[in-house]
Amino acid sequence: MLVDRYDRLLWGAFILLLIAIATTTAYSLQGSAYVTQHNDRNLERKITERARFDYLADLYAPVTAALEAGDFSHALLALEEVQRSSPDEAYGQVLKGVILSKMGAIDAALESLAAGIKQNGNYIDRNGSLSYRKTVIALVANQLPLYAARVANDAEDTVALTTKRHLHYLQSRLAGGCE
Amino acid sequence: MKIGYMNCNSEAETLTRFLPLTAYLSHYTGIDFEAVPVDTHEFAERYAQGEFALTHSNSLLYVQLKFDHDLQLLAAEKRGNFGSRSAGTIIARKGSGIEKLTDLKDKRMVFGPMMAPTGYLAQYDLMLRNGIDPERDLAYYAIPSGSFKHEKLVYGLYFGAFDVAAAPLLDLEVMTREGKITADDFVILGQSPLVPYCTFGAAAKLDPAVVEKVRRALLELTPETTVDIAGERIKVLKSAWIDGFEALRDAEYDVVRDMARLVNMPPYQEY
Repeated sequence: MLVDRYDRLLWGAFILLLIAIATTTAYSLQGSAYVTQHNDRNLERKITERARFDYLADLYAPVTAALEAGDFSHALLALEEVQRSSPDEAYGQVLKGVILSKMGAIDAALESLAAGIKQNGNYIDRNGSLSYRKTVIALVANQLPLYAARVANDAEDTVALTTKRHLHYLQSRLAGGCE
Repeated sequence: MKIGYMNCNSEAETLTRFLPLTAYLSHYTGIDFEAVPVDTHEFAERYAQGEFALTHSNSLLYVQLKFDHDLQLLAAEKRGNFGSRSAGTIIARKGSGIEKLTDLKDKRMVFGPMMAPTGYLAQYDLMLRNGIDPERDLAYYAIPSGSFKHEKLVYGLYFGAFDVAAAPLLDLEVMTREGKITADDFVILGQSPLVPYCTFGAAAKLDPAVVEKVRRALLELTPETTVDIAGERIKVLKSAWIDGFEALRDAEYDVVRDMARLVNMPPYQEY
C-alpha cells in the first residue's frame, strides 16, 4: 500500500483529516453539552424560584388576604401563626414590616423590612413576583425626611438614629447597592 | 439602692423575671441594686414613701409618677411586634354576630386590670371616642381577679362568659404564637392607638451620674447578655421577657396622658 512517497503523503493527509474531523466533532459535542447543562441549570433555578414563591404565596395567603382587606391586626396575628413554623423567613419579615407600617408603627416596620430585605433582596426586585418594591419606595420617600429632621433636631434621639439607618439601608438596596 | 418592679402576675414571677436584670445592672454600674416586687395598686404610694428610687412600671404609672413626683424617663422596654409600644383591642368571638364597635351596646364585657394601659385604659378611651359609655351602654362589665388577668379574659370570651373582651394586642400576639388561640377564633372590633409599653424611671433627686449609668446599661443590653446567678448562666433579656430597651422621649407618652384625661384616671382624675 505504502509503495511510494506520494502514497505515504496521501495517507498522511487522510489521517490528519480524520483527526481534524474527530477533534472538531468532540469540541462541538462538548459545547452543546455545556449549553444544555447551562440551560438546565437556568431552568432549574427558575423552577425552584417559582416553586418557592408559589409555596410562600400559599403559606402566607391568610396574612396577605387580611392585609389586602385592611384588617391589619388580624393580618399580624395570622402572621404570628405562620411564623410558629417559619420564624425567620424573610418574606414573613417583609410582610410584618408592611403590616406594621399600615398600623403606624414606623420604627418597628422599618426594622423588620430591613431585616427581611437583608436576608433576601428578591422582595424589592423590580420583577419579583412577591415584590414590595413600591411600598418600600414610598416608605423611604415619606419617612427619610422626617427621621433626618428628627436626628438634626436631636442628635441623642437614638430611636430616630436607628430608624434613619434602616431607611438608608433600604434606600441603598433600592438603588441596587451591594451589601 | 432599690428598684421597684411592678408585678404582672405574682411576686414570685416578678422576681424570677427581674433578678437577672437587677444583677446585670449592679454588675454594669458597680452599684448594689435590690429588686422589690410591687403590687400595681400600691406602686405610686410606695414610691412616694421613698421605698425605691428606680421604677419599672407600665406607661400609665410612669405618667402618674412623672406628674406627681417628676420621675425621670430612663428607657422603654421593647417587646413584641411594635417594639416599645403596644395597643389595646376589643374582641368578640367569630360568628357571634358582634362585628363592630357599635354592636357593643348591651353586651357583657370583660376588661383587663384597671391600671393596665392596653388592657383597660386604651379600650375605655376607644369606646368613649366612639360614643359608647361603658358605664351606661354595656349590660355589665367585669375585671377578672387574681393573676393572668389578660389570659383569663380571652378564655372568658372563648367559653361564653362574656360577649366582648378588652385584650392587649401583645397578649393576643403571644397567645397566638404559643398556639393557645388562632387568629380566626375572633374578630377585632377596634384597636386603640399605639402607646408606650413598660418603662424604667428614676427619682428626680437621684445623682445624674447614676441615672446616666443605668440608662446606658439598659440601652446596651443585647439578647446575648448573660449574668451568673447561683451557679447558672442566665440570659438577662430572655429571663425578663424583654426584647431590648430604647430611649423614648417624654412627649411620646402624651397619647397615654390624653387617654387618662378622657377616661378620668390618675393623674388627671376628677371626682
